[in-house]
Amino acid sequence: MIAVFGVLAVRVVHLQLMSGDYYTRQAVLQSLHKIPINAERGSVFDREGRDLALSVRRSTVYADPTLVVDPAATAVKLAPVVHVDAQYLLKQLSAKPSRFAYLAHTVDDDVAAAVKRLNLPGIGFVPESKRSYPASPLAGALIGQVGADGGGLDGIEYLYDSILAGKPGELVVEQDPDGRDIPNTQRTHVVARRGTDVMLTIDQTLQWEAEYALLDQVQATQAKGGMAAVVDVTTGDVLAMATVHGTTPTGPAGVATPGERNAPVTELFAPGSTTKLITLAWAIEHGKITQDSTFTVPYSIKVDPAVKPYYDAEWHPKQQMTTADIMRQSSNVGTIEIAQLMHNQQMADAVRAFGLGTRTSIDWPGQPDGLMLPPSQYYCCGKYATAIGYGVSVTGMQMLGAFTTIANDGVTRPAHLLGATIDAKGDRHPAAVPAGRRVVSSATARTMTKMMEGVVSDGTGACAAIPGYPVAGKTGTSKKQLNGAYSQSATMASFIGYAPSDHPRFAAMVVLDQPAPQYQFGGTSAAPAWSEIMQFALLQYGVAPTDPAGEQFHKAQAVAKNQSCSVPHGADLANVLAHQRAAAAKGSTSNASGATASLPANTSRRN
Amino acid sequence: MGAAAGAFPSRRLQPPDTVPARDHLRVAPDARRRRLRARLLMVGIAFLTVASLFTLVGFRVVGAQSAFTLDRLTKQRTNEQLRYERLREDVARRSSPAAIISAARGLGMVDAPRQEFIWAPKAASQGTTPSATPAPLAPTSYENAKQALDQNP
Repeated sequence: MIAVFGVLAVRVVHLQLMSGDYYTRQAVLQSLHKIPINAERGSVFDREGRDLALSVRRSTVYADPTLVVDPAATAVKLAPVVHVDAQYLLKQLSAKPSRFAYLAHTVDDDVAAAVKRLNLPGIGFVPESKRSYPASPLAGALIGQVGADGGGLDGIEYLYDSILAGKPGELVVEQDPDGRDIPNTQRTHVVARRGTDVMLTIDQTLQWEAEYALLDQVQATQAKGGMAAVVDVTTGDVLAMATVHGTTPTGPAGVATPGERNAPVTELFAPGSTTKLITLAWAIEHGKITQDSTFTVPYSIKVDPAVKPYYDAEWHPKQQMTTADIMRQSSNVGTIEIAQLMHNQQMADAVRAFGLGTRTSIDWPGQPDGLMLPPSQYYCCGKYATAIGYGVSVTGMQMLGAFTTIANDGVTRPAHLLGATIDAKGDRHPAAVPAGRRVVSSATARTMTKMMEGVVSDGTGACAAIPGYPVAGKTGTSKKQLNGAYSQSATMASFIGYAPSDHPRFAAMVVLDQPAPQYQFGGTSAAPAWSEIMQFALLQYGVAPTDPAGEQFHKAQAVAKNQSCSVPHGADLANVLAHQRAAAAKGSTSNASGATASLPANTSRRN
Repeated sequence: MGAAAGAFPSRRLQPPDTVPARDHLRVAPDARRRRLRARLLMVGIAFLTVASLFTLVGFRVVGAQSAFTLDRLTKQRTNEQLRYERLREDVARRSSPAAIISAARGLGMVDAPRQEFIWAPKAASQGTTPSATPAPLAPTSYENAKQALDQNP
């Protein structure tokens, strides 16, 4: 007996004195319960403070299965109101002994009101935050979307998720084993901190114009897709960034929706003749040529016996061409002759200096560096291929950056999407803008501008001319890379340039992916859309015309009289929106579905 | 002499008759006043007690009423916040390009087939005829416009 008591006494001493703290902690941990309090997600604004994405509290319909009288009848009544499958509802309503089952998340106010009118026992509502995109389908691929847990999945929502999300709070309470709060016990309340608002540099109106001018042209040229972007040369602000997909067997052409790729910063393509800007600028900068240097340019040139010769786009006899002529007529052979004056390393330095092969300053998820051959692998022809835009793969924003550099007097102007952040107190914090660096001299930049004005007034880019404003730009038509080789028929057609060329304000880029063969050239397919977008931007921002007499425009009209330089304006927006609503109904773009504006069923964007 | 001295009152001050000390005795307080004071004290304590209780109850009531008011205001703030969110969303939706174009279509508006530029003639000095041909903009006008645009694009 004494021994038993002795053992018990030892055990008591052990529990109370030696392990007391441990068991106290365990008891507290078992009784303490953390209730998370979600933080409200920050909003996304355009540059004018217009809402592009915001969180709105909606009602979520739930059931207490223990209080539901007739699950089957309730499911039948609820299904058509909340637009949820009756079988799913029945399963949720029958989930005893659970006292909480979700029926429909974040329903609209009219749906919630309709459910309340049914007055069904066991059915209740809890507030839940829903992400709303009031300007949808505008900039769908750019803004992205959030998942069911409220986290960013793609686009801006993903890129700035860490600052948009805020900091969740929590309520810590002590509860008994049945889950009831124990009065007068430990209770801690950590307030949730609202997410920071993000103000983009995007201009909602210009974004719309860019998207639908591009959509019109993609449809008109039967392209597989297209991309466009507009940058403010004076600040580096990205004002518009559009992605459009063409008609597919499963649906009509449309603006890219959340989940689709934001092509200007993610899709690689061979830039083609737009790269001639870099080749010629570098050659001029390093004293290899001048604007007036003359070359004897045949129709084709063979740079190595083992490879096929390079050709110009159209046959011509051997002729004398100045550097400006080579640029104006986009002569491959002439550009290769200029490249012959440069070393391999110089060619590689040129494309690197203009930002090719390096991610842009836009910190976009999944943004590629681009592909470039190192000079050691140029072998016979890498230098020449690079000079005319082959052998390199770039993103649209990289090429636009090269043109912005020339427009900005030879100094890079890093593009950026984030204008500012606005914290929970409402204080605005402008985003840091990367500093530019000089690539070529002012004199070289001015020379390049003058030569590119010739491209528009009297060359391949005549369709880009704008009345009242001088334009500088370059066309590009490159063979598309398919299955590891250049296609013989499919092309990437592009036009990149800036305006007014004498006082550059905006630089823009339009690229069409695989237009129909009759529209394969950038000058006739991409340039008209570029012109329309740029003209809209200039007028929208009240940029004063600097060519009132329209000298360049009239010249270009004479050159382009045999070309169709207008955007056909054939996009049936009602069909596009209807398709996107249908896609949203399937759940692929659920967050963008509620915001589509209704248009008359039989109207297009333009007449 | 001795008899004469005894017959006449002494010129010397005679000490008063000594009264025996009665320390165990004192003036008895007035019983009536004592009772009155005790009664007042009791009344005062009772009054203070009641007053304190009423004050406590009053505070409690005011506290409860304030809690109700706070709850009502909290609910009101939540409702107003919800209303603000709804209105903000509604404004954003109505002012989106798609909605504006839709509304314009509803009003029968159509896109202009082309845009025309109208050039204002340069301001003529007094006594001269304004030029009929459009004058190019002065070189500084762009700079001025650009500065203004940079400040408020």
